[in-house]
Amino acid sequence: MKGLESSSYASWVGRINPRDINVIIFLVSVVSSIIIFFADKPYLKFIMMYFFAYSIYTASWDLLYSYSGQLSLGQALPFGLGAFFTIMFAQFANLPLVLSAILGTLAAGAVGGSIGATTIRLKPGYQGIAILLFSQVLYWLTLIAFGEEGVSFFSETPPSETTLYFTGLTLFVISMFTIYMIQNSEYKLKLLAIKGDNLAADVCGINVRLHKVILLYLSSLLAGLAGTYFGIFISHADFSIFAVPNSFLPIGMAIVGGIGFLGGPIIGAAIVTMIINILPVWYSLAITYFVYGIVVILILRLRPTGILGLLQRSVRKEKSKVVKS
Amino acid sequence: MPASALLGIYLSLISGISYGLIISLLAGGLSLIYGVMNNVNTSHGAFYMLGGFLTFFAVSSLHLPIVLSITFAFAAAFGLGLICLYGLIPKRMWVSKDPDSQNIVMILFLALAQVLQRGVFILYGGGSVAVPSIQFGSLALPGDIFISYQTVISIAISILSYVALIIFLRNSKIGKAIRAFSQDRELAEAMGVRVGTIALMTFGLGVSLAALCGALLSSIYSVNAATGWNELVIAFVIVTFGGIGSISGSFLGGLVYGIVYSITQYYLPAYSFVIALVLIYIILITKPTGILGEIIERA
Repeated sequence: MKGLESSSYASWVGRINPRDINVIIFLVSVVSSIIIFFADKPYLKFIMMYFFAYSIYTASWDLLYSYSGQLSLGQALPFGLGAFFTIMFAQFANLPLVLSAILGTLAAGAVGGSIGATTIRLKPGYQGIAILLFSQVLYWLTLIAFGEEGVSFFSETPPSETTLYFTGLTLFVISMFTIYMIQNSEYKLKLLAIKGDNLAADVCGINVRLHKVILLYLSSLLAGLAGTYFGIFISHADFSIFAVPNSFLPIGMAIVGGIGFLGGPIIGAAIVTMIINILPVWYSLAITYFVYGIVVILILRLRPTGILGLLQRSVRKEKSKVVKS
Repeated sequence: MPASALLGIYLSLISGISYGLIISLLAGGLSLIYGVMNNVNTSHGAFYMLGGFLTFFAVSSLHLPIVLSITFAFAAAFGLGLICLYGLIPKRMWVSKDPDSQNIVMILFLALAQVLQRGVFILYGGGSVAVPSIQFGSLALPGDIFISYQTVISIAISILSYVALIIFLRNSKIGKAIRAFSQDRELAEAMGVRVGTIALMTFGLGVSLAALCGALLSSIYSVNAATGWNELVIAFVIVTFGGIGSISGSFLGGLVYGIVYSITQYYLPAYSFVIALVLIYIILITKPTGILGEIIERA
């Protein structure tokens, strides 16, 4: 009986196209999110809201890195700007929350993209640190302007938990769908050509700078969206949102999950969000992030394709067994 | 211009030159590593922080005299650098011009920086530590200006370190090999220079310069576990301003940064770090070759 079960599992797995794993991971995450909402687990719901924000945040970094070879070491810049702008629009300009969120996201995308655009001429390593430079600049500017307490959002009619949860899920679905469309379009080929060889792509008539800038704006917009959502459900933003560990968060998540495909940021965000939210129950936050750093190093050294790569490999293995039989 | 304003600028210049000379050691290390290995060491700021903590550890736990403690921090950072490079980075990536490989190395070093900072936090907590001065008291300069002996000694150590580094690179066998390797890798390898030895020596030397800088500045300012990111960014700005791979460029870039920082601190103290960085960054994107060195633009 057990053998029969395992052989039917193998034949089922063998029929999956390794590329479809990304869609399966996406669908599983959506269904799990809905099930978790209806389960009576408030803390898990709270963690899921982190997951929505972090998976969009990670996907924004991965989109920039995997499809144009631009390494951002300061992705916290658009993320933090999204949170800050939204709370400031809602709190200080008294705009409705939805309008504040839209304006906050657009402003974060515009500022983050424009800052990133000044760095596209730099060599990869230096581009990464140049973006980090601006992230540090914003760290200090927000500390000077708002102090350690930062800005908080108060409302007489705050959005309910259900609204926040399903808004997060909707944003997650829209963002992942957008990235999926890019990853399955012809535009992807242009981006990969740019990533592979700038000069050759330029010779082939591709406007390298234009596409790099487009991707920078798109990535900033997505990170800004994640930051906006994060700022709203936390109802707070302070200088620490621009700190380097926050920029390292999406990098590590993408490494753990696997870079270059939709499923990677989703798996990475799910695992790391669990680690950094559940481990502090027993250990200090410093130990949690110490472990997180080591996990990233180990995965990058031993399994550079991340967990998604492992899944794809096992599916390929089963597929080849099915084909042989 | 009123006499008080002139005095302020004079003081800012002295403080800027001293700070710039010391911080340029950090930039010199980063420049050396990039110039030879083609990799940006994103954990450089963490080694700066470690320099302060290693000196503090030597003074408070090993009860060593301060000069020996600084030497200990320099040597320990060198050893730790070798271990980190050997254990963390695949050997084929130690020296590489492939952008993908460079990016992976940067991410690995970034993860290392996180681990080192969190590790120090676990051991020492989030509070700041400062190491005692080598010599207490102040030196009187013309115009009733006083400069602490610690600053004077730190400047002297900084200049001596530069001189020692230049002598090492010009006269020693390994130094000549490092220079030959950075100029023409293939030819150097054909002449028997070993990539692994060069990379290990360069990385060890680079991070120990960062640690030395941290050890010297931690007695003037203080360090905590989160220190290092600003310093990494400052080192990056100085290196690109002075020219990548150019030790003298780092020296000059450090001086320029120190002076700009101190003068802006005189007029707008809260925004000095931000203004100095943005100002130099604007110069950089308009003149990406830096003062003395290599172009930092993509091909």
